[in-house]
Amino acid sequence: MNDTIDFKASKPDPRVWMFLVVIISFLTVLCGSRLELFILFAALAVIMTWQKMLATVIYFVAFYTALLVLNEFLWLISIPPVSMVVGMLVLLLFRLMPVYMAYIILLEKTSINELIIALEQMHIPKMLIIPLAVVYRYIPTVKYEILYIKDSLKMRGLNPSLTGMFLQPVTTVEKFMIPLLIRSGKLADELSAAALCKGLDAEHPRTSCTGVRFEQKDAVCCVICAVAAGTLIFLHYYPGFGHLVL
Amino acid sequence: MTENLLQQHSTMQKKTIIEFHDVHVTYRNRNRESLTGFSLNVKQGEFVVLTGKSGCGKTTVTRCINSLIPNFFDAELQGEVFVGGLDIKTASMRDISRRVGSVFQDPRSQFFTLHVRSELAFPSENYGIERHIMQKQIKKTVHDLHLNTLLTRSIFTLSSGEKQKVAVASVYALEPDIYVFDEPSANLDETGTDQLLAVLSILKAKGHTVIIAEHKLAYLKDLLDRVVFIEDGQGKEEFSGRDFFAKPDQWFRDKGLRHFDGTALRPAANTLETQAPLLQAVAISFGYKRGKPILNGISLSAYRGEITGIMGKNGVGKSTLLRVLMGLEKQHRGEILLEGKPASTKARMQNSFYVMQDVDYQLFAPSVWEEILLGCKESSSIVAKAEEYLRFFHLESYKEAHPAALSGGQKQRLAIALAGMRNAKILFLDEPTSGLDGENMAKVSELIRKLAQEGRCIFVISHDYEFAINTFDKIFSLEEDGRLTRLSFDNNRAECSTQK
Repeated sequence: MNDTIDFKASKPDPRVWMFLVVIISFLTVLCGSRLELFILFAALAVIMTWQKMLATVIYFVAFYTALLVLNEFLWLISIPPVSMVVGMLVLLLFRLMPVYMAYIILLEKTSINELIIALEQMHIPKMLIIPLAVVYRYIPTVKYEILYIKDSLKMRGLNPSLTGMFLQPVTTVEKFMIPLLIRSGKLADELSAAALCKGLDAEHPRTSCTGVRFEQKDAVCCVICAVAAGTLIFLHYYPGFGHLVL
Repeated sequence: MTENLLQQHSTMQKKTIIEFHDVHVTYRNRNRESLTGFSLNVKQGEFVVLTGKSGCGKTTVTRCINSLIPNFFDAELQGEVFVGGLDIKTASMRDISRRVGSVFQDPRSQFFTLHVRSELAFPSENYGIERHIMQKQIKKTVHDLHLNTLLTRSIFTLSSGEKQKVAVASVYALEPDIYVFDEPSANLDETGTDQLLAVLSILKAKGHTVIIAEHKLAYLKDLLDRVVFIEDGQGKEEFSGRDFFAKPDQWFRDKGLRHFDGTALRPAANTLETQAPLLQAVAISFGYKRGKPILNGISLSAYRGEITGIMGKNGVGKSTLLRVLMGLEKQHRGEILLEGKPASTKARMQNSFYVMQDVDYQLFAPSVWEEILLGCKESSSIVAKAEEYLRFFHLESYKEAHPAALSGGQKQRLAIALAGMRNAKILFLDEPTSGLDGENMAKVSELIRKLAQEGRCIFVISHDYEFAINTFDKIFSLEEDGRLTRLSFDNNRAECSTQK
């Protein structure tokens, strides 16, 4: 019999990543300067590297650099309406990217059963947890669904590209949404049936195979996060201190 | 003879574990009964296969056994169903599920977590089993079902056969007495089916009760104790495995069942290689960014009116080959010629039509009639053509129906009709018969032949030997090294042999 199966819970705890998502969301709203957003981006890139998500880090760094270049370029050519609209879009992306990155970390580093257990231990009602878990499970599949639909649109001579979307927004959305909704409905049904047949319900307490526990080192991670966030906010409202340090 | 009697005696003594007594089931959104007075007794340790045409009610029977009816599906249930001594009308879903392990048709949507290890633990966690017991049971499962190599994998990286294996394993850890399967082999290739068979043999050897609703029965030949033939919601006839497989071919055809032992079927022999090829691939290679090439110097020619079959293991790159040929991907090396001239991806795409494995992705319109006219310029000739196709494809009475409300076979037929509506010279179909019964399979085969006779060149991916041998003019197998070998059918065997 194979006794080498590793039953350790993944670390840091799911709650650390959830905390990170919340903190980053607050920070992107509170501190919106370009420098501050860049600091958030850099911090998350470091966390991703620490978690060995190298391919993801490279992808985000490349994307960020492309955005920076585009932004500078827009200032150079300066065609008022274009620069305005695209510039706003770029700024919006700068702002959303840290939250997206934090979410990716949560998604990649937490398995769904550990997430459910962590939420249960936080005394969140199960009526909320189960739908949340279904959504969490569904997100990674959406990508594949969209790719399939895109291919089939192409073969039917309907243009699913960006230009096509601008030229015929209503048709494209309609042609995209109908199969996506039908597939999603079907998938959600099958998923729920499978979960019920595996004994998931709202009343009975679950146990954990891996022993999910919020330990001291998880607390340390959260504290570091909180202190870093506090510093950023402090410097945002009292920029004078920043100048003193620098 | 005496052995037979002894066996009978020992099953007589075993207690009945599943009992259906005059059961009627009506789904709320359908106006007719899906089960009409169905009765069945299954003894502990029996291996029972339910079969019949699509829509005959066999899936409904499995849903009663795992009590998704009445707990999950909106359906009215009359009569009595006892599973492991529990009345499904009063027992909770949770109590039934503890005794019944369920495995479904689509391996993509039956996993709740995204990793093999956490999926194995998921049901036990739901039942609040203590950690050290759970870990011991998971270790036992991994050992019994030989899962060591899969344990650390992500669900997305598993082949379909491996997914079904994991699906069984995740309920195995809870040690239920009864296992119920709904068309578990529908999406599997030969290797996958073999893997499934191996797991089923283990379940039977351990004395579990197994109930399978299935179209393709040949692979279960040596395992099954009893076949229940269901028609119009009733258990019409029951056979022992030996009696069932001894039936003449005509019987299977009359009942709309699949039947394949390879003896009575002959390959369609059409040689069209005298004319100039319509599509030619010359030494094409292709691979995604990293890893080894999927297509490695493939050359082939396809002619008007010809149906080319492409077979090979799951995940070997058959769909990729089709995507390159039809222009959704660009080949890295080599050339693709259309009517003798080099063709760009765009030119190929304009001349092609693709019927995907999952036709749900391809149906956009609110009704069958609008669907079939979608993307066509409306004129009287087009309308006449659309009507002709709907008639020929037996869909004319569903003109106003929403495509999502059609059955699997009807959707597949509609998607093939769409292909006929477009004036594409080349047609690509991916697994058009997965999950179809014998009757629908024969229809699909006939339709594909019609489209070919109209002068189209057709490529079909399939794992379905019964369908392949009756439909294809020429068969290639895509190998793991990215090369293509031409196959020929051996009349006396279900397997193909390689032509030198």
